[in-house]
Amino acid sequence: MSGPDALLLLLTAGSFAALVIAAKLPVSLSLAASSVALALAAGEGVPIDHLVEGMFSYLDVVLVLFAAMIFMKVIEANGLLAELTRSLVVLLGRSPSVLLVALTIVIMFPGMITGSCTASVLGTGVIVAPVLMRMGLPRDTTGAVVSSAAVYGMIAPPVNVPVMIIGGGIDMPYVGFGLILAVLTIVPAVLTTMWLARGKVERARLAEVVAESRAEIAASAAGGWRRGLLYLPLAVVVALMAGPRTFPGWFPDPRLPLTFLVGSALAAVAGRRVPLAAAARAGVREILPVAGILVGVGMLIEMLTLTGLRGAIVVGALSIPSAFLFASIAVILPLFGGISVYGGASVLGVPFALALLGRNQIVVLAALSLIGAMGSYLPPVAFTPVVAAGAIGGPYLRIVRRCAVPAAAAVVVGTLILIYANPVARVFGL
Amino acid sequence: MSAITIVYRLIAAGAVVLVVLELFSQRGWKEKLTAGLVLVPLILRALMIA
Repeated sequence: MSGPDALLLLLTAGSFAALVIAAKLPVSLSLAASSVALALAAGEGVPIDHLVEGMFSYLDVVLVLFAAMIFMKVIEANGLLAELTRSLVVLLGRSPSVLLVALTIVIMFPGMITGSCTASVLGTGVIVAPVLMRMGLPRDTTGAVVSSAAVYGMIAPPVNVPVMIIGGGIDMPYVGFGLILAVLTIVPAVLTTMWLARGKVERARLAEVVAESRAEIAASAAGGWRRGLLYLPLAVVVALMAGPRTFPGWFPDPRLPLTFLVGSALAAVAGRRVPLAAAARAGVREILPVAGILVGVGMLIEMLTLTGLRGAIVVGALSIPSAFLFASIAVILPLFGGISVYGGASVLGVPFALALLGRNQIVVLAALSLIGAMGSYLPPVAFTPVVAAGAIGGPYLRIVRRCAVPAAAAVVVGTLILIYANPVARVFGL
Repeated sequence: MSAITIVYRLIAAGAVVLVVLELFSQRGWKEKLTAGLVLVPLILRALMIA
């Protein structure tokens, strides 16, 4: 990479980090401001048309996130999430291991459909956390279980925003990621929960929790077919998502935003009545910072393209020795994730993906998202532990400490998958 | 214009309304600016200008 290009790259990354850390600007505004700074420094002035064009890069993802978050808010308010947790406790309470696996997936669920770890922590995390603590888990271990499941939920299919960001940057469609992302997220999430919590569940206390949950279900006003009705929106959403893939050409594909809106409309009348407008406003309020980041990322990528920096990054990255490249990915990507996982995916994930063009790109992007997501635990922002500590209580650094070993293991696994991307792709039939 | 395009524009318009409500209900300038940033492409898409 030439000297001026390297200086421009340094200026962009430096201004972004300074705006987030020193000026405490939101990541979205920092990305937008860094894009303008890059254009000015490259002598392009303020190219309004290009900046606005960049805003459109992830607009469809933004609509998916809005609709998914509204759906989450409605099923949280109508009692479905609490009912699901109680039913799982009663159904699987005999085996602590199986119950922990099920509760981990329940915590992951909101993150899976919204691509946001906040949705997981504040949606199902706050419902599952008291159950875990009543089972005998200390508060910081509970926080670590919720944080870890939320981080893996954020990058689990069907919605993985970091992969969408990197894919948008290298012109790659978000297709074919389902199986590998499911394996790369659900397996480590379950193993992390087991490592953190399995030895701490007290059987006597678990039996009490099961008895309480059974009593709560018996006392619930919604019994019999009305309980079944509560699950209908979830079943419809799953059917609308799976139908087009199972019966292509026959089953109409409503796409994700309409799927979630249909689910929301059904959920608003199934179970406890939910004011849809209020739920929609709460959902949009919660996901707006993430939507802003996506708009900012689109602007930055457009400016990198306009100034020719994107091509320079590719040429520069291709000349890096591979051992150094993998070491850089394993260290720098999670460190940048300590500021913003989405920001890291755009600023570093795109060049790293371009540097690994000879390998299977589906596997590469999935592994990069796994490595980058581990930055969620890292200061200065440590976003997920901070949100979890806020919701559950206790200092967030204890949660970070508990998650450190499994997160480091995930980075090692992700790096190995990058190195052996092509053999891994053959295993998954990609 | 196909039915699915109309549905898409309605969803975009609904998102515009919700983000505008957020824009006016937020007190901090950072949150207002973030909402404004998201609003630009949403309005243009709802109107099919870009």
